[in-house]
Amino acid sequence: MRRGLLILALGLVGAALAYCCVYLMGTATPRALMQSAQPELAWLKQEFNLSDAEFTRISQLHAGYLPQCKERCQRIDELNDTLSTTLASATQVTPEVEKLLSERAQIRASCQTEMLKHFFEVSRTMPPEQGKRYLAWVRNNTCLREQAMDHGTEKHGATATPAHHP
Amino acid sequence: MKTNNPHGDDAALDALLQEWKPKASLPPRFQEQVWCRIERAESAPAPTVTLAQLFAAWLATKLPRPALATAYVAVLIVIGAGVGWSQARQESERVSTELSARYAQAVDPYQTTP
Repeated sequence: MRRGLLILALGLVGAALAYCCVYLMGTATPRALMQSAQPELAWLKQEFNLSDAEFTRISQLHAGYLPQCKERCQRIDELNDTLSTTLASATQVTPEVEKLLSERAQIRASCQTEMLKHFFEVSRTMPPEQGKRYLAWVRNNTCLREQAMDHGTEKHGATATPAHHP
Repeated sequence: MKTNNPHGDDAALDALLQEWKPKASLPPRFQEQVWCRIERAESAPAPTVTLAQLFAAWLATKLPRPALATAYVAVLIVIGAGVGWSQARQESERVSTELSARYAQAVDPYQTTP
């Protein structure tokens, strides 16, 4: 009986050890990504098999792009506030409202253009095949792929969402 | 034990047994009581073996056999490793999805936060 219990326990301990070893080995990469200084860029490096030099260059591009992007977002937020205030007292489309709408649309277009430029620049820094994959990924996962237009026949998020950085 | 004259003794014993008549009488309702006891014994539930007893017996007698013990430990290790691998894969996918969303959010302010 005692020997049987010992073997029973040995099996259970073996299973637990095997679980821990395999789990820790299998999650070593994601844990390293999460512990890095910039996890999202570390993910980019891992996902697109970037060399250290490519990663350094892309990190520099990323660092250069973000402040300009935040500046444009701040300008759009300011225009949104001004537009809200103006619309609160407006009863028709005034030249001022038109101007604000036009200006906001221009900054949004500029924002998307700069974003696209950044994506192309990043893709050129990558090896050609990975660059193509990256462009395909940003096409599918950023605002470059806009939702289909509809007039309420489908439940899309038709309302404008505020532009914001994490 | 063997005797010197077994056939002579057997004949004497046979004669004695022929003469012997039991004088003791059976207790009253002896036959009825015997049948009652038989019925009780037949109607009594058979002793049940619990799962725990079966497991204990298996643990004491079957598991210590080298072949079974080796197979048991090996199977448990494989199961543990399999579950670990599966969960590690799920965790990797979860982290990858989360980080890709964070990257998209960082470069594209029009992303809606999930």
